[in-house]
Amino acid sequence: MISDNLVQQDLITKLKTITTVTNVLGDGVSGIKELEWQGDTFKYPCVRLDLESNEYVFDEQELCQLYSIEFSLYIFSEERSSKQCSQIKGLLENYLTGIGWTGTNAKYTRLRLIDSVPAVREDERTWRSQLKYRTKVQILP
Amino acid sequence: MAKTPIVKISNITKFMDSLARSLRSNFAWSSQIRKTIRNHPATDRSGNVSGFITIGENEKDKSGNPLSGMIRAFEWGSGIHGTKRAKYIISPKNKTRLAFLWPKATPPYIRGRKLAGTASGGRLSFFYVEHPGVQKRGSIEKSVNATLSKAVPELKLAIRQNIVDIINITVNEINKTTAR
Repeated sequence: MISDNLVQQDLITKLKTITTVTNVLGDGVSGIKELEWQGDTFKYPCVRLDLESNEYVFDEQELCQLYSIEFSLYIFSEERSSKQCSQIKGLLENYLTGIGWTGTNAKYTRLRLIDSVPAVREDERTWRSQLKYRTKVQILP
Repeated sequence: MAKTPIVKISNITKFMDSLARSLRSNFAWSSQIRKTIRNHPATDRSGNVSGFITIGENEKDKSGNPLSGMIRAFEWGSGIHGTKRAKYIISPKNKTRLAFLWPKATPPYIRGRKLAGTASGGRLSFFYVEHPGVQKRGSIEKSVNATLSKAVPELKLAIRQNIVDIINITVNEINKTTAR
């Protein structure tokens, strides 16, 4: 069993290596956190990760130790126009779609983009866009 | 086989965005309320895609009461304009009297059940006042109706396209399997 926090840790670590994105975030590499992060001191623009599902892929012998996860990346910006929000989304989409890698806790096969939401106004001052991915996760031996 | 949703998050987000924009437009008369309209991210939990919008969440009005109360009053009407069809009483909370300027009142100011007398700065002092309430504006109702008539056909088209995509993917996968 691979716990949610280990998957989340791997994903955030991977996201923090994308320097083209972290360079434009208000808090740099610290600008990438989980969606429900309960702090209140941060700067826009920022990226938030939401691990939406982490399900065991059933196999009778239980040898694969394979999981299927779905996660969303939210990009928030406070600029007057949606340009910055869309640009960061584009950078993430170009980097992440189709990649696979081995993290500290598990191996992640090809990231499949399953939804891409253009920037919308979350409230009067904040833009939000979203990328949703699905991938297979294999626990490292 | 690939799991492809019939309703995508982007479909619901677009729908919710239309509603949020309509709400911001219909609440143009109150910047205090308009600023609290928040379109939360749509979520997909086991194929159930949903989104929600909050208005006045965790916000207070100028008197320190939840803003939701004020929004409710303007949506459905309050006092004589509401369901109770009666004025409601406003009494002091932290002081013993209410005091404010009332240019329409003319002397003599006789102390009674409501009027306590005069206060500094030309104000009148009251034990309590009766407020007639506010008229219904129905801003949320207008927005919902406007959005349903415009965005539902768009959502239907998007869902129809998703179903066509799913059928195409499934047929392709069946063809690949039978060709092996």
